[in-house]
Amino acid sequence: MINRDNSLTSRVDISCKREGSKTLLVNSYFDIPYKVVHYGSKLLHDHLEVMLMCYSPGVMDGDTLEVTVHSPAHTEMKLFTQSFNKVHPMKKGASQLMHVKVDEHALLQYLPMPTIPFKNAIFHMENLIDVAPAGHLIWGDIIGGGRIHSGERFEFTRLHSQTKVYCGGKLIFFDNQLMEPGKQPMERMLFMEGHTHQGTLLIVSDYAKAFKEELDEVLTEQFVDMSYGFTLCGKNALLIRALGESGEAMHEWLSNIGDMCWSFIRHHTEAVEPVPVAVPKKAVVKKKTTPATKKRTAKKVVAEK
Amino acid sequence: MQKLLTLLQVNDSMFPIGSFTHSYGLESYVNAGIVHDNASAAEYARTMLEHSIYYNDAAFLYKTLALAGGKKGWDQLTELDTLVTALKAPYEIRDASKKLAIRFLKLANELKVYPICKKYAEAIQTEALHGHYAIAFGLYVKAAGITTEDALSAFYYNTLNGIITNCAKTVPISQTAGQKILFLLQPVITKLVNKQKDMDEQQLGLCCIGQEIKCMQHEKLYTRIYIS
Repeated sequence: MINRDNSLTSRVDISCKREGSKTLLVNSYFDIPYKVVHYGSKLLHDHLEVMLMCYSPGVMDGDTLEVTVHSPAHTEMKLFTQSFNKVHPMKKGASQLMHVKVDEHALLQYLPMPTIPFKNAIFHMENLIDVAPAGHLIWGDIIGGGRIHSGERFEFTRLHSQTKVYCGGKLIFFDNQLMEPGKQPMERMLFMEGHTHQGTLLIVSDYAKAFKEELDEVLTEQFVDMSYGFTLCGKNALLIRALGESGEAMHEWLSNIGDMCWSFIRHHTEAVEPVPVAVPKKAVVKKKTTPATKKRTAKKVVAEK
Repeated sequence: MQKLLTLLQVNDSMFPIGSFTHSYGLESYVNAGIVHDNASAAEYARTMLEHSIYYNDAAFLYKTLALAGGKKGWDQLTELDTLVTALKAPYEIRDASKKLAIRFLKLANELKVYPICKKYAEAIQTEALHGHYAIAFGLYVKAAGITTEDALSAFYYNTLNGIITNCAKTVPISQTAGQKILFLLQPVITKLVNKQKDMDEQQLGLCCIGQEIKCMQHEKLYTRIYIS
């Protein structure tokens, strides 16, 4: 909806359903300037891959976006965004609210492209995520310091990002990040420490602890241009955080870990979480695998309860 | 006078609950060469107070001191304990908060038993609640009749004292340089205590991303003398 001051109030709903081995897109809705489309061919794999597109130059003053994502039981969905989330100069501010629900034995992956707050941008992002005790979530988030290569470095006014994750109705993770370069030593120690981009990947799953043990073996050295850490931020939750210089490089790195985790979870759940209504497979479709998963033959592990 | 002495005793860095075994990410900073001299130690200490402690442990303490009594107060405490657990993402930091809470309550309950502290200790023991030091400390000093201002000032002071002691051991900086930082940051503590009540609720638990990553990296440090 276009408001009288030319700002946009938009809503996007994304949901899916499981039919046999396939997850299909259902009940999707989008307002201008957004669009929800299949990411590539929908026949290529059993899981659903959808992309949230935005055909405006970015987020403008007064814009509000509300996104609802629902992953019903046993569905498998990967949600992407097409482009960087560019937050333009503004006086009042803009906001984005995401409601996410992941039901029992559903698997949802969301790794959006980085958010780039331009000079004088004011942006509030809120993510409210409800994961069922046997649901699986892979959730990413990258924030840049501005149009760095144009010489615009931490010149935005304010960016506040809040992510609350509930599991079985209990709050298990709360990430509260406020970036106000005018009021914080943004480039100094404890904050960005000379880096320009920060990234977060959260995994909520009964297999999070087992996946961390895999990462313990894989991520043994720090990179030259990126500083990262990972930890069990809850009984069934793994958090990876990084500081670096490139939004694209960080997105690719976190996507690789996300895909590794996706394969890891699927590898373990295929055996223990059969879909109640089994429909014979029509054709065996070769699935995409990441190089990381090709190399590894992960041993089966028991889910953490 | 009795109240002041109680506060001095339970807030002392030598109160044997093991707080000296934690660096809360400082050891990673020293290892990375970021905190390496008097100036960087002072910057680290000041930034910790103003941008981490103020929104986190001191704010959790302030909320504990403001808890209502009775059943309503216990429900608020349960909610606060869950919130703090969700906010303390790095495992070692969350675990440090729990361990200090358990040891503090065990020892403090030997000195004088307050029902609310006993109840919190039991809830942690039965795993009904996670347990956090700032909450445990707040419950005890509130029950002992210590004012909010005194409790907060003492808490900030001891947190800073811990940072300085760790800097003296690991950076290392001289004891004199450490005491100078402690003295120079007194006005900062006063300022933070005075504005604690004005903190925007939306800012409770703000994360300093660099520090959080350093706390996570501590889990993988090759040699370490601290638990966190």
